[in-house]
Amino acid sequence: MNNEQIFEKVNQVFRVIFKNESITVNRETTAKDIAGWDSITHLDIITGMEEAFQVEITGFEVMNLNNVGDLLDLLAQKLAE
Amino acid sequence: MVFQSWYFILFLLGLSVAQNFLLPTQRWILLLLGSFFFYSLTGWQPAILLLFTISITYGSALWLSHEKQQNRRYKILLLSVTTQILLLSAFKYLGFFNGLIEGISDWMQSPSWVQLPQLMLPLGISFYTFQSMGYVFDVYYNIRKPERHFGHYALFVSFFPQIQSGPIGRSKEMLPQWKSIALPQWEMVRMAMMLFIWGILKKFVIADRLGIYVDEVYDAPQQFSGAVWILILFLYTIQLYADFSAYSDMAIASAQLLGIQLPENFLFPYKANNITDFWRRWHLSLSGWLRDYIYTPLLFAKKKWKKWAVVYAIAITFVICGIWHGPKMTFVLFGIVQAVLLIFEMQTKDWRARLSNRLPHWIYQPLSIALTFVVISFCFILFRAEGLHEVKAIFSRLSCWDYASTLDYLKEKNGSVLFGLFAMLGLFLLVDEKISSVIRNQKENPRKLGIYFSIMMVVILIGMVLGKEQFIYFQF
Repeated sequence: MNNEQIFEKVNQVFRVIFKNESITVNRETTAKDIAGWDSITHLDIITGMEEAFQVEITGFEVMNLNNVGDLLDLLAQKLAE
Repeated sequence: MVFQSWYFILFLLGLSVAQNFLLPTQRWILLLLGSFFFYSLTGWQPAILLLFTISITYGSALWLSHEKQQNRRYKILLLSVTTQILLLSAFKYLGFFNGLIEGISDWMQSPSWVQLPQLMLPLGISFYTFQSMGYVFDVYYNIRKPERHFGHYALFVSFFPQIQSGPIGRSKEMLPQWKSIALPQWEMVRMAMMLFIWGILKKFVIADRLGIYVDEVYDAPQQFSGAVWILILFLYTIQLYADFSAYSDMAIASAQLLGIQLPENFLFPYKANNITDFWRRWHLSLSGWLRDYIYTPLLFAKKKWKKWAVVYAIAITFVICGIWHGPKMTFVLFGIVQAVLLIFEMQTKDWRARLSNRLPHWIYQPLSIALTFVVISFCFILFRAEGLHEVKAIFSRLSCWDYASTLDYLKEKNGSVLFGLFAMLGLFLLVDEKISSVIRNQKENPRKLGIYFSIMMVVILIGMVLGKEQFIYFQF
């Protein structure tokens, strides 16, 4: 899976979680940019990514995510392993 | 040395002027010496303990950076955090264990089998322990590299404007500031002075004035009716905010005069429309710390539990939040009540959203804000009461609507004065945000600031005659 495909799939997960088809995230997007992105939604996003990409994201890794760009890099790294 | 004393103001101005004679890269030395001098005024033993905490956390972070193996890093983190928690417990919680032992002995009808020694509580220990512990977590999670400069790190933990009662600083924002300290521009100095004066006003005129009414009723809970108690619960809620936010404003302003930015601690908490919102506005530096270092790791460690992971993480986080405030069962219960309320709100989120869509905004919003204020006021009984017996006594009085004694109280206090007091508090809550935004705006019209300054000074001069009290949050 290349970076573009990862990016598109990540956006799909966001649209499902936030029940909003118009959402498009970019590398700089953070929780402050999307209304309703609280800690419970954050948990849904991480578990949603795990299911969509068939990977496991640890709590340690979650602590290092500052924006969607960090999440994309982490997913790309996990898929390459 | 309290912020609202002439000694502190002279000390602060002295440091501020002395900074001019040093290079930006040397100013940290002056601030570190000043911070240790300031802290040593509470005694040399607390200063040694502070130095010990600094050394332990400084060393653990360096050790963490040298270790690559994850399980060994985890062990180092555990060792560092355990040492700090043991230190904090030794000074803060031995009395709590004594109380537990006495309780068990009473229940078993036998004499206490052990009595733990009671140590003097070093000023600000809960605050600087959390601040330095947060730094170790940051290095463990690779959020930042360890600070190799011992002086910079020591200043990060001991910086005098914040050591007594926060705001709890984060290493990512605070540590880079020591490398080169620029002197504040005139606009910043003006803003800092206005913020400091606003803090003095909130402390002297609002918090201490309300304290007179609150203390009288809390000192003799059985003598007052339910109606008086409700009045006092509301007054204490405002007193606590005015007192603690006054302290925070003065801490932030003092740091700004020295060219340092501290994090904000409040975001108009009584504008919150539910308890979840309240915790996003109240004591931000503590709630943010708990969210990042306790709640989030717990939540993601049990993420497979889905919604139950949230319940689990909220419960543990808020019990810790309660215990952090002090060695009393009332604080533990405060944490538990907050957790229950937050879990309730999580479960009713969709229902509340539907309700807010059905009701007009002008009805739903003020009602939500008022209800949140009332709930918080009741929760703060656990904050102010001496023990569970007092909480029980207050609740028994709350159900006692003795009109005659309520009227006596209003007559004694002069009903019109009380009405005026309430009008003033309502005004304070309404103008709080406006005043805060005006005095924090560096580009504000100087004439407008002059008017605000004059009004605040007049109000303070009137309030000065009302006496001086200590800040409530110093006890934590």
